[in-house]
This record gives sequence, C-alpha cells and structure tokens, in this order.
Amino acid sequence: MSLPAADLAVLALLGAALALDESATPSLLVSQPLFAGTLCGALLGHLEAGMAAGALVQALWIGALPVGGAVLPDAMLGGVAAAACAPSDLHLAGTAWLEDARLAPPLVVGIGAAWLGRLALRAQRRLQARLARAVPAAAASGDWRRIERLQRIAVVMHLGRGAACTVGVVLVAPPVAQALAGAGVAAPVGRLALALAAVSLGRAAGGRRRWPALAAGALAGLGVAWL
Amino acid sequence: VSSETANAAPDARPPRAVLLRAWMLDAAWDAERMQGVGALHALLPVLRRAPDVSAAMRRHAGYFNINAWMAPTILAALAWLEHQGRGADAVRVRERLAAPLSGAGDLFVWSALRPACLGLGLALLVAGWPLWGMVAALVAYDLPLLWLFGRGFARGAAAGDDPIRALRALQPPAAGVRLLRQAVGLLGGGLVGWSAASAAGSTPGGALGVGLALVLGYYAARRQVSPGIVLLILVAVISFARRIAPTGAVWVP
Repeated sequence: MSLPAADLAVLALLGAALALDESATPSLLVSQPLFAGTLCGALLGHLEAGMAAGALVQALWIGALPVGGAVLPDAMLGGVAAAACAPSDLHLAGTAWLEDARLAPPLVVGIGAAWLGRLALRAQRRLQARLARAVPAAAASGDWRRIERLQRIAVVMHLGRGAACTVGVVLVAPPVAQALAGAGVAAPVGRLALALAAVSLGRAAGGRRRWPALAAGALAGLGVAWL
Repeated sequence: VSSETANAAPDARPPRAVLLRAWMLDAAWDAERMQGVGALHALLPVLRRAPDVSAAMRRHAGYFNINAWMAPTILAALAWLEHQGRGADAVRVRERLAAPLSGAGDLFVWSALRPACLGLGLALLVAGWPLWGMVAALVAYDLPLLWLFGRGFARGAAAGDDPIRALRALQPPAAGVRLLRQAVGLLGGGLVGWSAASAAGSTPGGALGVGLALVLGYYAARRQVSPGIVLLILVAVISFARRIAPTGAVWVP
C-alpha cells in the first residue's frame, strides 16, 4: 500500500497518541479498537469500513482484564490493522455487513497485529526494567533528575512504539489481507465475533447473580431480532 | 497513625503537579517495581523539597501497584504526609491502602464499567447508530472516571491525620458495581439472544456458525483461551468448508 508522506505522518501521530492512551495513562477508551479502527478508517478515507473492522476486533477483546502485570494483545494495533485493510466499499446500513465474508482477512490480520503489538510492548517493558535498575542508586544519592529522565524516556518509547507499529501495520496489512483472500480465507466473521463478545460479556457479568440479567437480556435480544 | 517532625505548614496541600504526573503513572511500568517508578516520579514535586531528599526518595523507590484511576487518591495522601514531614506514616499508608483501593478500582473499572460501556457502544453500532454508540460509550466511561480521578486527589489530599480511615471510605460503592455488572449481563444476554434469533432466521449454515462460536467461545473462556484463537479456528474451518463444499450448500456458514 502506498500512502502520501503526509498521511503516514498523521497516522504516526495517531498511533503515538493511542499508544500513550493505551499503555502509559489510565486510558480514556479512545485506544480501544472500536475507536482506533474508526479513526484509522477516517484517515484512510473509509470511515464505515474502519468502524466495522474496529468493532469486530473490539468484540474479541471486550472482556479483557488489564490487571496487575498482564500484558494483553495490543487490541489497538489490531483495530488499526483491520481498519487499514477493510473493504472500502463496506457500509454499516442494516446488518448485512455482519455476513460479509470479505471481513475475514482483515480480522485475521488484526488478530495477528494484536499479538505482534503485544510482543513489542513486552520488549519495551523489558528495556524499561533494565533502565529501572538505576532507581535504587538514584534514590540513595537523591538524584531526582535521573527519575525524571527515566520517566521521559519511557514516554518517548511509548510514542515511538505507537508511531512505528501503526505505520508498519498500515503498510503491511493490506497486502497480507489480499494474500489471505487469495488463499480462500472467507467467513461471516461479523456474527462469529459478536457471538464471542456475548460470551465475554456474559462471563464479565460475574457469578450466579448474572443469570437473571443474562436471561432478561437474551429475551430482549430475541425480541429485538424478531421485531 | 503517629507523627514525625513537621516541616511544613499544617494546612499545606500537595501541589497539582502530583495530580498531573499521576496521569502518566503506567508509563515506566516494569515487572519488578510495576508502577514504582511512576509513583516516585509523581511524588517528586514534594520529595525533592524534603529536608533529606535521599531518605524521602528511598521511601518511595520500591514496588507500587494500584488501579491507575484510583492512584491520585493515595498519591495525594502520600504527598500530603511527606509535605508534613511524616514519612513513616506515608510508608504505612502506601503499604496498607494500595492493595484494597486497587482491588476496588479493578472491580469497578475493568470488570464493570469498561465492558458495560464498550458493550453499549457495540450494541448501538449493530443497531444502526454507530456514532451515537461511540459517543455514549465515551461519555459514560470518561465522565465518571475523570470525576473519580480529580475527586480522589482532593479527598486524598484532605485525608488529614487519619488517612487510612479516610481513604477506606473512598472505595466505589458496591451497589453501583453490582448494577453495572447486571448491565454487562443484560448486554451479553441481549447479544446472545439477538445472535441466536438472527442466525436462526438465516441459512442453516449461519445458525451452525453462530452456535459453534457460542459453544466454543464459552469453553475457551472457561479455560482462559483467547477469543482471538477461537475466531482463527472458526475462520479456518469455515474457509476450508467453503472450499470443499458444492456451490450453494446450505450447511456452510
């Protein structure tokens, strides 16, 4: 995929900002794939396709718990990758897009990108752990400027990782998706991903007390589909 | 909670820089100290003015882990105590309160509010209102949490002489968390019902695909297998079936 340098620069800025939101701050939700995919799709000129691709990646990781030391798949990067190679003529009117088998290659690429993004974040954190070995010595000598520098370096690494990974997947995702489509990868992934999201939400709802809410929701869902 | 020698005015409040720095608490996360570097960095505007900078920094140079949305509450209390020259009290507060506040924050934010807001966004998108869905998800998630972030800092800074007692009262209300988890259950159930009904209305293959996704997804989730892996398996099986099946076969999704 060839993109003008200005577009790549804007995508790099977007990726840097989203990486900061995802890994360095409490997160305002904008780095979730639903939003990341939409923003990437809008920048590439296919808003609705980006939105659809981001929503499907979101459906897969809707119940992910980023607690403690868990390093989860980089769903933001997955959303960006899926949006970059989503079919540009896809529209969200009605529910026909959920049956569109052309969304399968972008979603597979998005899942792969999310796992690669996880590796990149783990590598960055290993580097941060190495740099943080200097903390006891800095504290013992009262060298607070060193701690400031350490924090600044970490922020710059997040920005650089986000920019590089975003530009990388936007350039690489379309040919990979094309190759997958050529190899016959096709499935109505919209409905499959929503079914998986339903399972994740059902589990996130908690213990035995969730069953009445799940049953009421299922009845409402049946009613909406029937109407 | 005991007192040490005070080196600041009793009514002094921690600087706003602590709050701003708390926003970047996770930036320098590492497996050994977790948010230790971020917490030390957030407290520096106070610590570097301490009579013994090195001792003050050593007190906060270790392991620290908390839900990032709850961090300003405890960081403000620590900054206030350090500002008062009560370093030992600060260490006690840090050791006793970080874990319970973090647990309450995780339950509220990650297990309840975030899936509820994302589920709402997704449901509205499927229902045909994608932009409204995204706006609703952002507003419902960001407004309460930004309020909690700022309010937690103010309450932590005003915790006074008994911060452990004051901060324990700042946990998110259990009833609110239960309500949000019920909402998550409703959304999950709604998606199951809608998926099942719309799949039943399509081809037998469509119904088979959704049924397989629900069953495999359920068992995979029980075994902590990523939904991404389940989807890859389903895509591979369906793509293969489409390849070998005769044209127009109704059992292929």
